[in-house]
Amino acid sequence: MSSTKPIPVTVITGFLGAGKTTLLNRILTENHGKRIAVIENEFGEIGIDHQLVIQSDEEIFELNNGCICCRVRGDLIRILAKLSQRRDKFDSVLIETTGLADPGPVAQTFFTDEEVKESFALDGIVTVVDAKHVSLHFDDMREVREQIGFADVILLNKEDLVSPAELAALEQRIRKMNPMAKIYRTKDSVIALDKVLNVGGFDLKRALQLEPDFLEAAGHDHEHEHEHCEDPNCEDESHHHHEHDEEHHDHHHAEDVTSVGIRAKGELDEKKLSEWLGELLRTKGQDIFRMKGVLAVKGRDMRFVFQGVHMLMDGKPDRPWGNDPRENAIIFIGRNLNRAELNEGFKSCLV
Amino acid sequence: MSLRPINFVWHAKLDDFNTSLAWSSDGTRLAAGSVSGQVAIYDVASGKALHVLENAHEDGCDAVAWRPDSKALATAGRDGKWKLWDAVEGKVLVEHEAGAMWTEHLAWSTKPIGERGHLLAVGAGKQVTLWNEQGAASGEPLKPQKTVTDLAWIMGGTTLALATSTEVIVHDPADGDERVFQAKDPILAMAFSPSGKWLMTGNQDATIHVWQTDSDAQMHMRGFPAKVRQLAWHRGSRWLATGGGPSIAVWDCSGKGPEGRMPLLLEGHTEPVSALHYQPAGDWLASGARDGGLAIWSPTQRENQISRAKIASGVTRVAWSPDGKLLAATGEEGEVQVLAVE
Repeated sequence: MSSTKPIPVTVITGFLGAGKTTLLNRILTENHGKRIAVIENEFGEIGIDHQLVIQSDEEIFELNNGCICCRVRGDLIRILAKLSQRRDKFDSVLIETTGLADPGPVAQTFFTDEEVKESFALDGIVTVVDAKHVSLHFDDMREVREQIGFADVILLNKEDLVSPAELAALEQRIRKMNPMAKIYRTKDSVIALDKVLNVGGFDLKRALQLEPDFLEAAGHDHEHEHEHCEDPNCEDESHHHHEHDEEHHDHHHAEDVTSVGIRAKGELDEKKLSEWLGELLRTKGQDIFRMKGVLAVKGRDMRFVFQGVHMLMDGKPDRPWGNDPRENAIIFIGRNLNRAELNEGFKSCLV
Repeated sequence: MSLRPINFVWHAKLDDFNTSLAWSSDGTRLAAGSVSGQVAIYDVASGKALHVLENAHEDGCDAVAWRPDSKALATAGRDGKWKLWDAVEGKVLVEHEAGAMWTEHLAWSTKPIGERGHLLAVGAGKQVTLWNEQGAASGEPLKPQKTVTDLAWIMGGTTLALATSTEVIVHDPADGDERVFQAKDPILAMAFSPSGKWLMTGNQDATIHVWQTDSDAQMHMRGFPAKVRQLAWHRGSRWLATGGGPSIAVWDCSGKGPEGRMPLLLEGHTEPVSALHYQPAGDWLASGARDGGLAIWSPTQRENQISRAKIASGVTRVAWSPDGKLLAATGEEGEVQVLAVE
């Protein structure tokens, strides 16, 4: 039985023509010396020899064990099982999805299949966005919004093809949908490899490191960010109409993919929390793409960190609170999230 | 309980994880293939490697299958090809692309299909192609909607069955007749009883599904700790052994079938079972586990474990010789072990 460290897997998503294959080729070129297996869902132009490139057809397995969210990628399970047989294992695996792929089943594959979990660990979802053309697809392509919602890293690619004002507006719009992701502006998908590989997007140990980022991005108490208010206490839809002219696509549009960040001082009641979260994931899990949090639970000395995809949640106690003031930070990214309900529900769990 | 001693007859080693293992039908040759692409043909009597075919398939070999005359070996692998080898000379007779990046499944019909002779079915991606004994294409390919996950000749060896994640297709190559069994759970492995009465599938969501082929009856068994990929029928079509965890369940399929009956549980492995095979002409079941454990069982006896042994790494395949006197097992580090129970 293999007892070695899981091989990190990076998923590259993005709409057709956004620059996924360019990024893939760049990683393969610059990462020479490492053994990388590439799983591709459409024929890309892989320009590098001596790499294992496996073509695959997206095949969704619907598991009937009672959970509607248990959609996994059967093709990936099959391919990864075969790859894990090799003695000279790979340093990493890159999965390039089709432009229309739903990242949910890809991510869930790494949390539900025992054999896959044994040998592989999902490191991050990188979404490449065509800064020039994405606005054309934003509203009518659900997949584009999902791919942004799921991302750990977003490349605003082709930055050279749009004006700085357009780019700023786009970044702001994307930030609102997914405040958790790191956003980089790129041209020809040029990016330092350490920004896209080994990002630890699903690593609980790094959930704390992310804390300042997502709290800030969630817009809590940031008065200067009035244009995209994410204040958990603010339900005023009129904020969405403060947008400037250059962002006319967004003008009359409330995003269906959005984020809700909640921050609350104090301690949580463990029983109430687990009931609320359980019920939330059961009823709304389908619409929750990603979630992360750091929680202070009454009677527990340690910070509780967790992350999740749809209905699947992974959590554990982390480091002790010590003398730090106890507070909670939690973020949800998903579709049609009800900010008021989430806030109210979470706060009802406070002691 | 006293276990019978094991005679380790001979062993050999390939250079990486062994994916495939097959006895020739005359029992004189054994072939094994590894994920490195190496394929070896052994003389069973001496344990000597007659041929070691280096890089038979670039990026790995996934299947080996003897032509029923025992004189030629078909191999398939991750170069997308299948090859027919002269087993005496160790040379390629023919090689063909099979229609996908990986060619994963091979099965020879156990009986001739009319004038076409014995046919080889080759499964690659969403395609199954048929070839004759000389390695020439014979008939139209089958094109299921999804990737082929399992392939076998059933009903005495003249009818082809293939599984994908969503269905099992039974195809009669003589007249092209097809029958389809739609599945609810994603299928990983399929096994028809030798009688043809029962079709069982082992599934991704830790279940097995059962069809009674002569009626519309279906059954569904849950409660396995892991997905079920190991299915082995007893020759009498009464007993089906299943893996899906460290315990082996043996289901009684007499009469109305296994639903509502407690299976016999064979306990002894401490790690998940990775391979199962019943003696072709006897009553013993061989099992292998991911910790290298091997066990031989006589499931219906009260003291059901007959013997046990171990190889160095996890067991990948077990196979009884046609006469059931020898057991071959392969391992994750390339082991090929032939043993006999005294």
